[in-house]
Amino acid sequence: MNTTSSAELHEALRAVIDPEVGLDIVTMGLVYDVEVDDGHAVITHTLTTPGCPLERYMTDAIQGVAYAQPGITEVTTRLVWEPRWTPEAMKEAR
Amino acid sequence: MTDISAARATPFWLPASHFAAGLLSLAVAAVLLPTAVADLAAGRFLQPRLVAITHLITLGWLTVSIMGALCQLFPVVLGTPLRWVRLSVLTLALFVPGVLVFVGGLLSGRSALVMVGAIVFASALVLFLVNAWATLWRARSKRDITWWTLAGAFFFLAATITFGISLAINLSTAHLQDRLTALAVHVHVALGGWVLLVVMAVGRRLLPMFLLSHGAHERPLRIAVMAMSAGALLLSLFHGFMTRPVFVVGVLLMGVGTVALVVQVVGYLRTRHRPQLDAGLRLVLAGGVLVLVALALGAVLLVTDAPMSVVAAYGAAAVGGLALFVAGHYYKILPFLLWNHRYAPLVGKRPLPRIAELFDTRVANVAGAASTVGMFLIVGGTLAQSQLIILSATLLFAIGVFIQAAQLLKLLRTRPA
Repeated sequence: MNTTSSAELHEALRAVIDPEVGLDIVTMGLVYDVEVDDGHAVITHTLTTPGCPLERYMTDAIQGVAYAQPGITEVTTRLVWEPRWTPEAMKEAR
Repeated sequence: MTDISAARATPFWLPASHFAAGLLSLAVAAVLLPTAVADLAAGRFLQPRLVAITHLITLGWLTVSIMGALCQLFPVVLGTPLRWVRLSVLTLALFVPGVLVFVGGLLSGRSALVMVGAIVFASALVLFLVNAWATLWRARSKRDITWWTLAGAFFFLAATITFGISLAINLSTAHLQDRLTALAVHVHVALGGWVLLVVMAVGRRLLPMFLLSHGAHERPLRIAVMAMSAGALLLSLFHGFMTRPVFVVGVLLMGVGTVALVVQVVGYLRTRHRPQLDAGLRLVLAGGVLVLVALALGAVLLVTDAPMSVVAAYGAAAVGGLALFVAGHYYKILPFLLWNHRYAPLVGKRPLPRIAELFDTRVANVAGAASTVGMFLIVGGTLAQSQLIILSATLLFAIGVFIQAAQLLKLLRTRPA
């Protein structure tokens, strides 16, 4: 079975929508890094603000999308606050 | 990296119960407002009925909303959750009955009820302050402008309670030499030192988030915090032996603080990435405009010997502006919390609605427009001393409040199909 590449998983994460803004987390620039190695996906992401109540939702949604990709057997999510997210990240992500 | 995690987040029911209590208080105030038309038109702002309605809005609506919002926002603005959830429950359980007994006492003319109610809700506010200061203490390693602004706000809430109790005792003892000035200090410290400082602290994080704003300089906010704190401190320190020059300097500083806050909000608006303002944000901005109207009326009061109707209109604009400002935030915060509590756990199991789809935005726009026009006309009618305008305005305001309260209370009961 083909394993999903990092780029493909990054693209697949567009299925995760920020419910307040209505945009996906890739377009918003919330996904900082995606690595896939031998079926193990490591996704580094942030939230719009520390203490955001959506933390659990985001983690569950990212894991749900990642596990649904072919060949992904293990998913690790890393929530980071540096660099701090700003709306400018939306332009860069596009 | 922060130590905040969803596992330590505040339970949904805690802010939700505060917001439900707030909406019901505002609805009761809206019912009572049409019965105070004659007093408003005559500028008789010391009449017990108007005092009761004012406290329903300042305590039952503004303060309960702030207490509920802070339960949820401490992690966002301070990086630390509320210190004691159970104490917060006890606080609300004491505060709401205390306010209702106090207001009932004012409406029925029974001073014993007024005193009992005041003691109960003041005790609840002391418990809130203990919880708030304990939360601040836990976040003492991250002392920034938000931390200091909240510390100031909690200090001025304590001062407001003290001045209020002094005014209540004065009803029996008449110990205050200048009751009107003491009342003016109480009102200004409450609205500026307590409510507006919280708005500055929380708005610094929330408004850029709601507007997706980035790059606005925070210098106006720093000026706002310093001027407002200095003005409220001056009024508080000289409360017992106030002179006209000290009072004028104090309220001028608070006016500068309010203008600086407006400049900061304009800065957030100009750097926003969300061009369209939703129903909640429009209501927030309408409230801000009414606060500016209050500032203009306050300036008139400082330089002229204006009639009592201008004083009453000034108070109505200040309290009404802040009431609209908070009402707008309900459309932002409450659906967000509900979505996160009831819909987020369903991620991956079914398609989820967006937060904005949880309620009818057209209904929210109608409610916001009715409340806004109603409140502006209450101020205008009070200035014009027209009972007809004020009566129409209070009815319009009540319609707006009922629609919003019904819409949001219904939302609280919403569960995924």
